[in-house]
Amino acid sequence: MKQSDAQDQTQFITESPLYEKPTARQEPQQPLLDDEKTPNNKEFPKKIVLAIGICLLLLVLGAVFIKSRQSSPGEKNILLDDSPLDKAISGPLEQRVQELSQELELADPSQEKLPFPLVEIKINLEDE
Amino acid sequence: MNWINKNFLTTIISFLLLTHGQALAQEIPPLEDNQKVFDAQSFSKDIRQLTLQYRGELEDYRSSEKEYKILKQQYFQLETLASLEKSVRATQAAMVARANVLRTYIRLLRFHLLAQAGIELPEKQAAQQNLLDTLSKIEQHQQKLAEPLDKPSIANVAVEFKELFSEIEESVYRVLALLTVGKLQTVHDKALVLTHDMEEQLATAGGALKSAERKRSFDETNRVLSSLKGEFDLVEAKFSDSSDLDYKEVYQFANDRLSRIYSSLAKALLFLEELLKI
Repeated sequence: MKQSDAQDQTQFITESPLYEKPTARQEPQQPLLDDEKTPNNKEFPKKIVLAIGICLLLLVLGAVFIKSRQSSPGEKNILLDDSPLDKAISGPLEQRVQELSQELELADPSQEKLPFPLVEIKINLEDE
Repeated sequence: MNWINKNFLTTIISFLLLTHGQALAQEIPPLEDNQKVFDAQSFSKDIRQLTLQYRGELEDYRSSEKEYKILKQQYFQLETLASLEKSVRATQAAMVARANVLRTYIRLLRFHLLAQAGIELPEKQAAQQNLLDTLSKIEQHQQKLAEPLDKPSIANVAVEFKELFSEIEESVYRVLALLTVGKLQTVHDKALVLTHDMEEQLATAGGALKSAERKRSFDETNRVLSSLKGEFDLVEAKFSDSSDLDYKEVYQFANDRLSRIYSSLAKALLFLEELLKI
């Protein structure tokens, strides 16, 4: 086949090496990729570094969270200026308001709890 | 490798548990002495017993009244001595049952009056004395019914009872109005205390903007609550100057005023509820 191609005069001689080049170049790259497929020894330190990193990040986040909760009342007031009341304060007060509302319902003047008994006034033997 | 992975997981889990536990511990509100001191309800046992007795007697009265009406009708249809005898007995039984109902009702009402807070002591004592007098008159009426009656005696007792009934109604309606005054006055007093407590506890909560808004809201709530004192005074004045007025008129006046007080109190409590959301 090569000989017949070489005899084809419509093709330039200089082009013949170009056909062959790709196959020649790919061969040496193959072993390089195989080399990068990590030996097990290098995987180990990376995981430890990652774990330590996550731990440190969580520690920092935790410390910031705790610090923010222990901030002084003045700082808290500034932070909560537009937020609703703390449940610890409003909870018992809300309960007292609810209880008082229930007590008020029982005092509704339009609803008599102990109505006068409906008895017949005219019990007699007279013809009516 | 496994050993390191296990340690890594254990560290993360312990850390999360520790921080979450601390956060939870901080979220739990401090224990407060929420236990309420209720007034000793020394009358509650008597009220329970009398309520049961009252219901039973009311039921007896209903059946007695029904029988009386049937036998009376029979008497007017038959006009025999036997039907007269039966109707006289049934009439007397109905009268006795009615007196029992009224007597127990007055006793029950008296205990409710004594147990009710928020009523001025002189008014409470006067109303109680009125009830005791009425009770005594009902007992006298019951004594007359203890002996066997004939047709003319029944007619006399019926006339006497008509006069007694007006007195019973007057003292009962007075006490009913006073009970409502007491209930509303108690709610009013508690609302004043609650508003004061809220003002104290919310004084430091929130920033300057919130404090100013709350102050305006508290001022409005206090205005509503303060205006009620005059309304209560009006009702009391009507009771004390009611000697020349019909008791039904006094009761109607008191009821109208008390309805207004009730509405204002409901409004003030809504304000307080709203205040907690600011």
